[in-house]
Amino acid sequence: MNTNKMDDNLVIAGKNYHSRLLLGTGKYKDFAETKAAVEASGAEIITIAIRRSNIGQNPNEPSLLEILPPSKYTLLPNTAGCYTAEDAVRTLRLARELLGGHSLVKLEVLGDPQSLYPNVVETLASGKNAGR
Amino acid sequence: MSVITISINGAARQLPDSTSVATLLDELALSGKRIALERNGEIVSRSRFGAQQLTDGDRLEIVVAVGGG
Repeated sequence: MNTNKMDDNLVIAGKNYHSRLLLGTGKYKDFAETKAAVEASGAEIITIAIRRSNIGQNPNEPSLLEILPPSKYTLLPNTAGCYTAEDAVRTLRLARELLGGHSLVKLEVLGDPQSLYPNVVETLASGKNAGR
Repeated sequence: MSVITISINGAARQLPDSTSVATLLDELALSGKRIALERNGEIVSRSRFGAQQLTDGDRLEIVVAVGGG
């Protein structure tokens, strides 16, 4: 394993990362498994999704942000699930609020629900608007 | 006291007039939780939850972080 301190950190916006692995958090059985996988991977950049809260259900359910605290990980809110540029940018604004002003994101606009192939034109359009 | 009807994540809900966002979140057991809230398409920051009074026809979206990506 990586016992030598290597001097080739990944640097994004002035922040040093020791791992180049970006890890998703979908499809895990539960938060415990998510946490264990993230820790085992050594990844420091983790993608998350933003969804409508289930009103009135499981009020004591822990938040993913308690399992993966933004103080410890760089969380990339993902716009997968959005089918228009407008929807993607809106989702990212909510994500920025949720993550306390954090502005690094994973941007994509879906084209096809079966293959999840992206809609490139809409993804480009959302990129032009996301910085505003 | 009159009653207003608002939409929360697409579902209609009736509330007493002049309910604040903070009071509503309290009722939904969402106070202090990691959420972001949009009212009629505009984000309402946490610091303004207490001051924002809901009005009839308001559309709220409340989102959380979940696994995915």
